[in-house]
Amino acid sequence: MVFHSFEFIFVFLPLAYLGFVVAHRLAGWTGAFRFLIAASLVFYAQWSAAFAAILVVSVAANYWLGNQIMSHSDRPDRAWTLLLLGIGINLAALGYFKYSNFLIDITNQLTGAGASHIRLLLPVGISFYTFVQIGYLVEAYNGRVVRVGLDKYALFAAFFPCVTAGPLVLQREMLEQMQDRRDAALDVQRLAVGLTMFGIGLFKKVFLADSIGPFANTVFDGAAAGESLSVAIAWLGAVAYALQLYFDFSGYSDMALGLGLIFGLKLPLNFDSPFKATSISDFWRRWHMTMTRFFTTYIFTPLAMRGMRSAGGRSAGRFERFILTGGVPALITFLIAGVWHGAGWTFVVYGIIHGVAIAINLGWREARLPQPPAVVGWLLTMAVVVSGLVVFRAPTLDLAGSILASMWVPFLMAPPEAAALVALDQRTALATIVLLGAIVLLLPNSQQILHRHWVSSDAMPATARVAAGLMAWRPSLGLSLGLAATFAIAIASIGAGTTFVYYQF
Amino acid sequence: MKFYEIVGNILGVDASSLNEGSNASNVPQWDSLRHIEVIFAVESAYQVRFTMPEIAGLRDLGDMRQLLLSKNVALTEVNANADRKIA
Repeated sequence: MVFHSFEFIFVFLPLAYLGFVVAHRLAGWTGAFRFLIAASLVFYAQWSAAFAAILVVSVAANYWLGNQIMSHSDRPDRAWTLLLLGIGINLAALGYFKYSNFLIDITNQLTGAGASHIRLLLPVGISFYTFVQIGYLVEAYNGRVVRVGLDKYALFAAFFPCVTAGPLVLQREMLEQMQDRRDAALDVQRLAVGLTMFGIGLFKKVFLADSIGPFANTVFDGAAAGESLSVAIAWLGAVAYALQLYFDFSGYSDMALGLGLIFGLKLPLNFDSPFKATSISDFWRRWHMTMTRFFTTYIFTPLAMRGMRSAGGRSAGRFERFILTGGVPALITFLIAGVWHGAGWTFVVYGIIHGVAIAINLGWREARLPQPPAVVGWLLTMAVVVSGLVVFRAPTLDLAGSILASMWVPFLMAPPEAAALVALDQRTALATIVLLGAIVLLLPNSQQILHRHWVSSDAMPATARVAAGLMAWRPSLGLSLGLAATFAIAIASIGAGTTFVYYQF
Repeated sequence: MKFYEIVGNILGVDASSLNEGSNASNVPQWDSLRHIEVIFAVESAYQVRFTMPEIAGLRDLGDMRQLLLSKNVALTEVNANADRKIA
């Protein structure tokens, strides 16, 4: 059951909210939170009972491991062993479901053996809830989590708004909100703001992402079928896909934050207008922010620290020091981040493209080279992002290579008459891209629009109010009608079968 | 050299502008590379070594001071702004 389905919006959500309010009336916030755990399990089990069983085992096992680690805080060696064991078990489970067949492919290629694939289905959200819980174990080792009952832990690890595709929450972000609650569960203002956020996200997903998606599909599918690409068609397809993914995932994240708010639990921000970024580092601070936080904290920083100690111990030169503390850690971090998205060579290359771009960006600043004008920085950033997403979207590296070649070095490609051109309605595609591009670049984002009623567990940046300008949300008849129209368009646009891109990760 | 001076030196900011709540999100000069240098400079100055999970758990300078205290480092310096911890 996805957020943008009739079953979710008209059956699950109203029933869940009703149950939440009744549970609160009968048993206070503890009762309300316990009800949400049950609702989360029902939500998740709609995919499959087997997946739900895997989630339950994962939550129970990590809860036990976390408690074991905390119980051995006076014996650091033992706690360290338990932490490594916990991370190992989590990664082994994730690896089994996600990477078995990729490893079989690699082994086959290297050895010429003909081993066949294992029949496996990837449990929805396993990459997300596994990482959330690995983060919890590390924080438990540091004495940074509070020991709580299984109920509060389960709600943190499996809360339905974020269990399938993030945001990747930290325990403290959720737990602080579960302690000492005195407010009412039935809060009309919170409901109104949460539904508005959800509605904006729904509109982004089912109206915007799903209306530009077909243009991208035409180009990628046509190219895969052997049709040829002109420069214009290749670029239109690539930019269309970048916008589709942006509205798909930021729409999902808006819906997740809106749902969290409706049920009284604010979540961390995941998007902050990434296509307005003027450097690639800036882009990753704004795109899938909780994933960036996870990889920076748990992979980049430890690697860079190791490099720093090695360089510092040998009084290395500036360049060598940068390679050890910035370049190599950035490359490895993004390589892992790439493969985290999926098992395949395209994701490896996607990670390398971003790792190299980030390393260049860090090196540029370290060398104190002049900062290019913002517009140049934006163009360079978008060139990397759009090109990277071609590799991300393409089913094979060969196809990604040929689309990228059509975009960047069209004079090297076979002349278009060699094969029929991809049949893309270029005028409509361009008009849609211009319209969606204007929305992305010129309008404030969802959390800025709602800044008067801050929707996230993150602190509100000082810039939110200014960015919102005249679009700041304030209840009025006109706004209500506008939102009702947005909702109506979104509901009418709910089609059969499209899911969130990030559900496959 | 005192704690806030060590950190201020690396970040290129005045020590008096730093407090327990200072971190990458409220000090513009504090990026991912400076972060590493700050930790390394503090380790070197106080002759301690943080573990990787300890480093992952650092949220602000207050956390770093707590970590030093837990390793029996005597921090005598009390910054004038130390009590103005930013959430």
